[in-house]
Formats: sequence, structure tokens, C-alpha cells
Amino acid sequence: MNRREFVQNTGKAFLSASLLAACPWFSAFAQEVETIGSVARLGIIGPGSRGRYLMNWLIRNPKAQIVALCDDYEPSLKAGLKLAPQAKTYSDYRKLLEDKDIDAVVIATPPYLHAPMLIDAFAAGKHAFVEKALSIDKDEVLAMYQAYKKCDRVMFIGHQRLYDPTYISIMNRIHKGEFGPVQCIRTFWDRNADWRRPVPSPELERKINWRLYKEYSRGLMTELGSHQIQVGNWVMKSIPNKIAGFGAIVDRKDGREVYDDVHVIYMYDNGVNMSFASTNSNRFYGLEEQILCKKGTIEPEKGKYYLENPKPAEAILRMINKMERNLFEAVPFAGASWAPETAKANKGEFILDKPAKTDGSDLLLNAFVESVITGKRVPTLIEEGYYSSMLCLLGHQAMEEQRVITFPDQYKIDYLNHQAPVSNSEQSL
Amino acid sequence: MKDFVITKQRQLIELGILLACFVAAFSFNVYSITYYEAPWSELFTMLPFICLITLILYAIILFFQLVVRAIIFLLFLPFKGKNDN
Repeated sequence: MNRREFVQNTGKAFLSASLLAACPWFSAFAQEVETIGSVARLGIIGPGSRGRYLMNWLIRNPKAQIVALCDDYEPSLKAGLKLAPQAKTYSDYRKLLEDKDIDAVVIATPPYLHAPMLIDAFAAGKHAFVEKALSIDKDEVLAMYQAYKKCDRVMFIGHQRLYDPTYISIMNRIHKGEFGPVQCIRTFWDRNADWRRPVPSPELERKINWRLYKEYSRGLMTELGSHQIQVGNWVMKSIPNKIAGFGAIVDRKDGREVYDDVHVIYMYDNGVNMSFASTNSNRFYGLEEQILCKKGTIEPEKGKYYLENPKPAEAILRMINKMERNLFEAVPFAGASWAPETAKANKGEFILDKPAKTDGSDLLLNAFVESVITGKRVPTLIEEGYYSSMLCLLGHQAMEEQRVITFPDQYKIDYLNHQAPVSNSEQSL
Repeated sequence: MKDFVITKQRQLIELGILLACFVAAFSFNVYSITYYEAPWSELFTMLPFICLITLILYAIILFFQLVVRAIIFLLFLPFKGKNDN
């Protein structure tokens, strides 16, 4: 989807100026006409399952050229070459970064590897797209952000909902007050899938099943929670300062170290709570961000909203319903009326007139390519990613320590309701 | 077999009945809008539903017409046989 299609998809009234005001990260498309004919040469570090998902979008963009792949796991490299057969291959990302024919890198390795890769990429003069979460270590997350601020390179993070037409449309309406003040936010992401993958030999267990071990992973929080925590902050235009939670291994007792059931609550300064819950052993409710406002409820994953006081049914339908009730009310076997008094009370309304053609992944990657070509950064995108990563890690910490955590000052940056302490500028890896 | 002829007069009568059904349905809508203080735009937005009610009312009236005709036919059937002779 390109920007023109996006604007058509989100609605007639969403003019370019208002879109940029609400979503400044769309400034990447400001020069998309001028960049026609230009190409961003990309190196993919980590063409595993997520890396190849990103590659599938990139190969559709004529302004993106995948010129290199890097992975120390041969099967992933081979699978990546099927999508970019002309790409050079590396097993050491540092060698890839030395390649002068690469403008930018896409880092899709496990989060525990992101920090050195990103910082080295900036040092090598490359722009970078890094998948969420930024890291599994809070000090690394801060160091990555500081490296970004010190250099002049473009950086993007894999939070595709920021480019999703459904989310952009509904956030605009929430922030304009259409649904009244936010009361609470409930997010959840449930699956019934075993993260454990088959390994060809025992020594590859921790490499392939890195998600299961605390040395390499923060489990459900970083793998799933980061998206929804980012959505919550986007709704509130604020960063929560209190975190509490519990986690456990309830079902998948197979030697893994990360929780398969997590519940974390984040409290914002105005008292609004956002919860994130996730289980790996039941998928009935799937995923959703339930944004409960005074005048309505929004479920962006379903693409719907529900008004607290929905518009009543048309008068003639209500009259027929009334007559039917009067006629049958003395007759105990009569069933429910076919003409409900309040139409659409439970069905809700769709956020967009037509379902969005994208979840934002293609637009996010297209925006990255545009930024690489122009060399221009986009505002606030990295700050959103920074805080979603940091809050995931603090949520994990709260579960581990089983105490209420106050957002530490040392990890605050200048964004929304937070201000960075002076000492942050002097920290480094 | 006897030809079944719908005369022009019969057609006019049936059109009149259909029109009366429409007026009744439309009036019912007006009454509902007044009763519930609904927006008057529903006069137009609910027109398809009004047409549906019109057809239902007409079908009911047509049914009763046919029942009455059937009863009359059956009542006079014995006398018809004698007259033919």
C-alpha cells in the first residue's frame, strides 16, 4: 500500500496536514515523489522467520534492493536467498557492515543480539531498521537510544501499528475526544502454540529455542507485549510510572525458563490502568486492545468500536417491537422479539468503511526505505519503541521481583510526561 | 378450460388496494416517528421497509380476497350444476 492508498483507506477527511500532525512518523513520505528512481541498498541481518517476513514486503518495493544477507545459521541463510537470490551472504554481521554497497541494515535477529548490531551499524555509517523489542536488557535499550541520538543515521523500529490505517483512524478519534476520557485499557495476546521448535542437534537447543531461556529472552513480554504496550501509550499520550505483575509456568513445564502465563498492570499518572495478559496455552480470546472510554469501547484488532449509548433502532422498528411485546407479553411461550429496541447494541461499528488492506508492515518498511534514501529521520517513532521496550522489561522485572516498580529516573528520556535526567547523556555500553 | 381474465376495472381496484396499503404503512411510519421523536429523515431512509410492509399488507388482503372468493364459489357450486343442465 502506498501513501495515497493509505489516505483513501483511512477516510475522506484525513488530509495530509492532519495526518502529519497526528502521526509525525508519516513525514517519511513527504518526498516520495522526488525519490522515484532512487534505491536503498539493504542488508538483512537475521533472515529467519521474522526477517523473511520483512523481506517479503521489501522485495515488492522497487525502491528497496536487498544486496546482502547475514546469518550464522545456514538454513536461515538459504531460505533468505530464495527471496533475494542475488544477495551476498555473510555469517558475521561485522563483515556485512564493512560493505560499502550497503546503505542500511534490517536487524531481525533475537532481541538479545540487537544492541551491539545496532550500535555497530551506526558506527559504520549505516541506517538501521531494528525489530522490536530493542533488547532484553534495560541498560542496552538506553545505550541504543543514546547511540541513535548521537549519530545522524535513520532508525526505525518494528512497531507496525503506528502505520496501520485502522489504528491511525481510531487514535485520531480517541484523541479528539469522540469517545470521552479513557477509563482503562485491557490488552491481551493469547496463543495455544508451543514456542519450542525441533532442533537438528542438542547443541543448537539454546540457539534455536532462544525464546525459552532467560539468558536470551524475556518471553511473552518482549515477544508479544511490546506491541500492545506501545498502543496503550499511544492512546494515553503518556508513559506509565507504576508497574506490577505476576507470571508463572502454568502448563508448558518442559524445561523452559520463561513464563507461559503473564499478567502485568501499568498505571499512568492520572490513575488509568493498562493491563497486559498473555498465555501460551489457550487461544480462545486471541489478541485485542480493549480501550474502555466513558462514551464507548474500542477494539482495534477487530476493527470495531461500541458506543455506550448506541443509536436506537428506527422508530417504526421500535413501534413494531412495542406492539409485539404488548401482544405477546401475557403468553409465556413467545420468544424474543425480532425487532430489537436498540439496533446494533452489541454488533458495534466498523472503524473503517472498508477493512484495511494492511496491518502497517508494508507502510512501515516503505517509510524506512524512503527515510534511507532521503537520509531524513522521522519524529517520535524511536521514542515510542524505546518506551514499549523499556516497559516490557520493567514488567518482566516486576513479575520476577513480585513488587510494585516505579519507573526508574535513570531510564527516562525526554518524551511525553518524562524528562531525562542529566546523567543519561553520559551513559554508554 | 376457462380463461382467467383480469379486467381493467379489477386491475384498478387492486392498484387502489396496493396504494391504500402503502398509505397505511407510510402513515404508520409517520406515527412511529412522532411517537418516538425520531428524525424525520426516517421517512425516506425507511422507504424500502415501508414498501416491504406494503407488500405484506397487500398479500394479507389478497389472501382474504381469495378465501372469500373460494367460499362463495363453493357455496354456489351445487346451484351451478343445476343451471348448466
